[in-house]
Amino acid sequence: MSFRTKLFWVFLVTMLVSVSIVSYAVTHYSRAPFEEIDRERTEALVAQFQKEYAQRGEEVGRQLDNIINSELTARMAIDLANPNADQSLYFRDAVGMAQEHGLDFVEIVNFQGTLISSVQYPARVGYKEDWVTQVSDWHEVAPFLRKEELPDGSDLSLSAVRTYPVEKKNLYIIGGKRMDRHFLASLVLPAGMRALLYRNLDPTFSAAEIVDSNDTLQNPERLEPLINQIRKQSQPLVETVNWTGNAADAETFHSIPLLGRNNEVLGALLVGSSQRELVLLKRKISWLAAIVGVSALFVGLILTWWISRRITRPIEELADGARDVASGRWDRHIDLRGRDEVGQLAGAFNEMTQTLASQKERLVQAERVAAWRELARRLAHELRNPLFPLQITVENLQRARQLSQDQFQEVFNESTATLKAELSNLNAIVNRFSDFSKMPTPRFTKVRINEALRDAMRLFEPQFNAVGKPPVGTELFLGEGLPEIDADPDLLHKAFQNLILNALDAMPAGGTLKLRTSGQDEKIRIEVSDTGKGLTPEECSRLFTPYYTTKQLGTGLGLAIVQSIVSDHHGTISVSSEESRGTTFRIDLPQRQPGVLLKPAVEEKKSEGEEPARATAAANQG
Amino acid sequence: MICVNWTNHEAVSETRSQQLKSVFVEELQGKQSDPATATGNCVVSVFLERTPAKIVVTADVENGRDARFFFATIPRAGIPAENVATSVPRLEKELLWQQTERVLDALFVRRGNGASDRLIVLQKEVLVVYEKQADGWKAAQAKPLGEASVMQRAPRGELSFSLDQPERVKIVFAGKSCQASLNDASPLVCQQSTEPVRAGMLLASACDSRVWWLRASGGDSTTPDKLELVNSSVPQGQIAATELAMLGPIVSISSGEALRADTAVVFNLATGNYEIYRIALACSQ
Amino acid sequence: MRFIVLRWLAVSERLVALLSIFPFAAASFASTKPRYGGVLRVELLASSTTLDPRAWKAGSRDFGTNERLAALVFDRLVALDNYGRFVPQLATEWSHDASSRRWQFTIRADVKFSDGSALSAADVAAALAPLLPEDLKVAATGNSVVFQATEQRADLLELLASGRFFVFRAQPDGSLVGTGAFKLEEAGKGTRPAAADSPSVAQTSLQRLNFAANELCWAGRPFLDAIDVTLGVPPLRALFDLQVGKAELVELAPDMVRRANQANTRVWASSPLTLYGLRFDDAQPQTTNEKLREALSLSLDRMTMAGVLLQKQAEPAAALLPQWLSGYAFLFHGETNVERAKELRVSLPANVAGGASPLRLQTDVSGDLARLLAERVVVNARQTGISMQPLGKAHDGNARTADPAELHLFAWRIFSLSPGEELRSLAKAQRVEEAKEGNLSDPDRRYAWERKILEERKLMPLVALPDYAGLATTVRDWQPSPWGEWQLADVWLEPAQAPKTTAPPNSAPNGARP
Repeated sequence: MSFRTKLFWVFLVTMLVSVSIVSYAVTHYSRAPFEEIDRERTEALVAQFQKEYAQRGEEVGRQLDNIINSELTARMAIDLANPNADQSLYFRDAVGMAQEHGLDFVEIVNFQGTLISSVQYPARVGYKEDWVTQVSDWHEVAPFLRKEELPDGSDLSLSAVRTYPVEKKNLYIIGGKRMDRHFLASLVLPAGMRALLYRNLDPTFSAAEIVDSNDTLQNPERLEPLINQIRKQSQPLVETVNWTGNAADAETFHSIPLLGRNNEVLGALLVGSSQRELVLLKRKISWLAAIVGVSALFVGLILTWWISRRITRPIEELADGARDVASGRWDRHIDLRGRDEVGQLAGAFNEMTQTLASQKERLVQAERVAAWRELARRLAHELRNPLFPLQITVENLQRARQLSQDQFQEVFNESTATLKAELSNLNAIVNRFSDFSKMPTPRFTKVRINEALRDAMRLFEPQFNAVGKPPVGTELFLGEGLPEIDADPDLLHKAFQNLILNALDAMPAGGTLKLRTSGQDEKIRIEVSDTGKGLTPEECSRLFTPYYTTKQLGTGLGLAIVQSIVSDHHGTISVSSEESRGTTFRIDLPQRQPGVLLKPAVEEKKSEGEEPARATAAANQG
Repeated sequence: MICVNWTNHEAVSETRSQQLKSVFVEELQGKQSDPATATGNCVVSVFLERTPAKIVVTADVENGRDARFFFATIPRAGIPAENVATSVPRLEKELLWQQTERVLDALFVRRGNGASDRLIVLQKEVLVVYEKQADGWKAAQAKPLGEASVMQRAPRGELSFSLDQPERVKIVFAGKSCQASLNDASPLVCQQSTEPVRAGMLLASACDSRVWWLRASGGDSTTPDKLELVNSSVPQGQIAATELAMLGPIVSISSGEALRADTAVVFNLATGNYEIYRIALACSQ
Repeated sequence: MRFIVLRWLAVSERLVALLSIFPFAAASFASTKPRYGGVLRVELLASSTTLDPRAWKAGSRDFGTNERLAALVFDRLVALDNYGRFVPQLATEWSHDASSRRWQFTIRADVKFSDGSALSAADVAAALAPLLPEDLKVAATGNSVVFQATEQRADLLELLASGRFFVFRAQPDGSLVGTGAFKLEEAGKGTRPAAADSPSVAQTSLQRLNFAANELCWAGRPFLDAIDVTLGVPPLRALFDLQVGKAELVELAPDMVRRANQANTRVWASSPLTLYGLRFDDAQPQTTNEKLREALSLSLDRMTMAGVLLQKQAEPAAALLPQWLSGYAFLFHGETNVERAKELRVSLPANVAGGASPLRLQTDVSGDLARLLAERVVVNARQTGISMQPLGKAHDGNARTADPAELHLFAWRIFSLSPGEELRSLAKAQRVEEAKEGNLSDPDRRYAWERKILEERKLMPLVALPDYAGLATTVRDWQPSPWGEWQLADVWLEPAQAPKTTAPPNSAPNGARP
């Protein structure tokens, strides 16, 4: 993945993450104020309800006080205190009291707890209402919710009780006002809110007992679970009811149980708050976030392209420059201006290449000097070997002059033989040096690597199972279908020979020689592995240095030659080794040589006309 | 032995009802020897009820645990109406005695058989028994009340007399009652008692068998009372059959003549004397 | 014992002769001389009336109104006074055979209808024939009418002296004329003309009726010039009108009586005339359970119904016929025993006593009173564990269930002075099977049948209500019968000085409740 792509993705991801975080934060934190407002409005409505409730209760208490203070009640109380009083006289009095004082429910109970008169259920006159007589001072009891039994059902009232005492006998007046839609209608409701009253008068949930002052409630049975919960546990509850499948139609209900005197749940106030605004806002935010995200994507694409161009182009130039330097163009110059880090980097690069270029000569000179020194040392070392026996032989000859002719002749024969051998050796050394010095420029042609390897192997086959020597196994892992490469077959052959020879030399006790070829990325890889004693890291680093050898007998030029050949083929060679396990030489050769256009090997014919081109190609490989 | 319960629900007048009952019982007794009916300890209840056109007679005959009902009807048109509504009784008063000392109660006892009538007067501290002589009332006994004397601002005491014990009189005070002998000077014998105060006295008619209730109209001690005669079965009833105005508040009403006449004590507002009257019903046309 | 009683009763007839030594004294009347003239303004609760006796329904609450108004324009053959005497009306004399099956009435001569035509025996027969019970036939013979009954009819006089047995003639236009003290002059707004085949004077939606004095009345012109009747007046309004002098005679609802008394209004009350009771629907399977009936009967608190709910303006009823009519109602006892009722209830299967679904109590009559009584019955039943619910009245279209009710609250107004006829009609109307006891004019048989009905709890009486009326002090010679006949022909008006309705103290009008 290129830097530009990475940069693009980073930028995009950053934008998207930022947008998502912002959207989430906006959604989340905007919800809180909504909920806060919702809670405040609900609390205000509940407070209003409670205030209205208290006011109604006070009103009921006031009207009852008026009834108690009336002359009619006084006369009634005095009369009813008499044990022989005719209670039927007052059978209808509750009706008049209720009408005169604007109460919906009025009952009169005598000191024995017997119902004397009732507006709501006159047929119950004569029955006991013992609960009334059990409280000593009803003035201290706040108005309370009460379930009123009616002939055809029941009703809910806000009631109070007052007493008129006569000689320690109380006359009780129970009065109340109905809790119905008119009560709810007195509440001022903010927009989006409504108040419902559930009257818990039936043993099971009944939708008909839900009082809605605005008649806007549809599907009241949806409230059944909430109301059943309130009826069971008599605690305030909050629950959201989805009226339809659309979340915007959801409504959150704050439910407050309304308790009677004995803490029984007689009703429930349901304050509904529509979730429409919040849901729509969230949707808006989501849409906005999506639009912003898409826009960010688009902008990101453009911006990324532009920015990455501004950032990556200098880096690419720097990379190209580095590649050029790696390929040997040490005089590469990056034309980048700017005071930023990239500009500084370009400047440093240019400085480096200048230094490299200037140091290159020195390096080359140094290397040349070092190479000459090494060569001189190696030469001296190589020459010394055969020169010493020469010297001995000559000295022997000189000494042999004093011997007899026959003895001198024998010595002379031995010495001349030795002189010839050593001179031949010297000659070989000189030839090798000559060979090395005049390594030819490659003459590229289409070469099949596998065939080249096999050819090289063939040369050493006798040595693999030579008598008196430990056997050497061979394993060939030659990739199938490898393309032909542009190469000099002779040079390759020589290189392969050297490597195989090297491998054999590394396995004096026998082993396994592996040859592997493979192709990847328009390169051919050739691996030559042995199972010898391996090399140390120091040895690996000096391996390709001319005249460096680990062998007792060796010029140290073999691998250097191999390296030279590989280099001439614009390839690379590396070595990996593990002590006591073996060593592997790895050559990577490009399939195509730059500036070389060859036909496939089958069709190729060398011609004179092509030489100059090759020469030119070779000349360019310096 | 057959007993008969007889109830007249105002179907006919009481007089007529009693007459009917007499006839019925007579007939029943005449049939006692009838073996079919002599079942021993029967109770017969007879009810007379008035309907628009008939008198319905219902006989409830109990025989142990069983009861059987028998009915009969009598056309009302066949029974002449009585002039009960027009027989208004008239009260008469006769002044017997007056004195200045306070009188709590008094009893006039007509003894007959040659014995002189007695007037028993209860005062605050003494019980005086007067006997009628040719020249007027003479005190025959004066028994101090002793510990029984009433020391109250508005003392009350009542005399009770029974023809069964004509020589004794009972005096009822608040919280105690005493027995006094009228023939000797023996002291009163008193004991704790809680007898209620009388609100009136029965008064029987000499002409018919009706018994009335005589009461005072109930004013305070500054206004004259009336004696009211009301239906004895409804002593608290509103409607008085007749009235007799008195000259002052009525202190007490008693009877010593087996209800044939009552004795009323009145405080005369004009003279300041306590007056004792005999009150009786005059026969009417 | 029975023989003794009967013998005594035979003796009592001798006694009657004995008692005759007491001189007969007529009841004293007001000593003030009656004054002619004036219009009596009457206000009635019923919203409609019909003067055609053929259209009257026995036992209905409107029967009384219809009868009172019909009595203004029609006469009967005989009348019964307050002393139990049968007084000749259109019949001057009557006789019957030994078996009381055949009765003959001589029709008064020289009687004219209000249109001037003469009354004949044939008119009497034609008028009475469609009104008579099935066992009674009537025919005119000369100047008499003969009634022939299939069985003994000792109560024929009571029958003919009450109820619908008025004599009238149907005119060609369908209207009816009579011989009474008044004639119908005008029917107010809302009158619908009678149908060609309808003999009624006016059937529906009458709001005002004006009766003018009938100058040709055989008993003499009435004292009043006219009677102005307004129908459908609400109870409170009627009392108010009386108190402010807008009416002289108003019908009072029971719940207005206390208020009228408190205002010292002159109030008249009849004997108990309207019976409220309960009837089980025998077609419902669970209602045949005897224990259920007994439990319900024992739960009913009649004393409270009469004494509290109706503020003592009614009496607890233990019998079907009131005491003043049968003479033996006191033999029945409406026992209330809640504990015993609860025991019976516990022993009942759950599905019987309204366990699964409550027993339904249908109110067969409209009005707050009926509704109040029904509610009380429900409360009483619930107290003993019998689940019950009241249904609205069927007539006014209130909600009623598709399934018939197990229990019905009915109202029955006494319409006849014949207790046998009354009991038979009541039983028939409430779907009690016919009496097998035979002739119900015999008190023994009548009592036996009534006892049977009550013991089997086919019907359960609750309370009995009188009729009430309020009168202005200007109304004089007000002598209604205890059974509700107002007898306005003898009423006259004192010249009004100020609209006073305060009655003199302790005035006990004739016909007050016993």
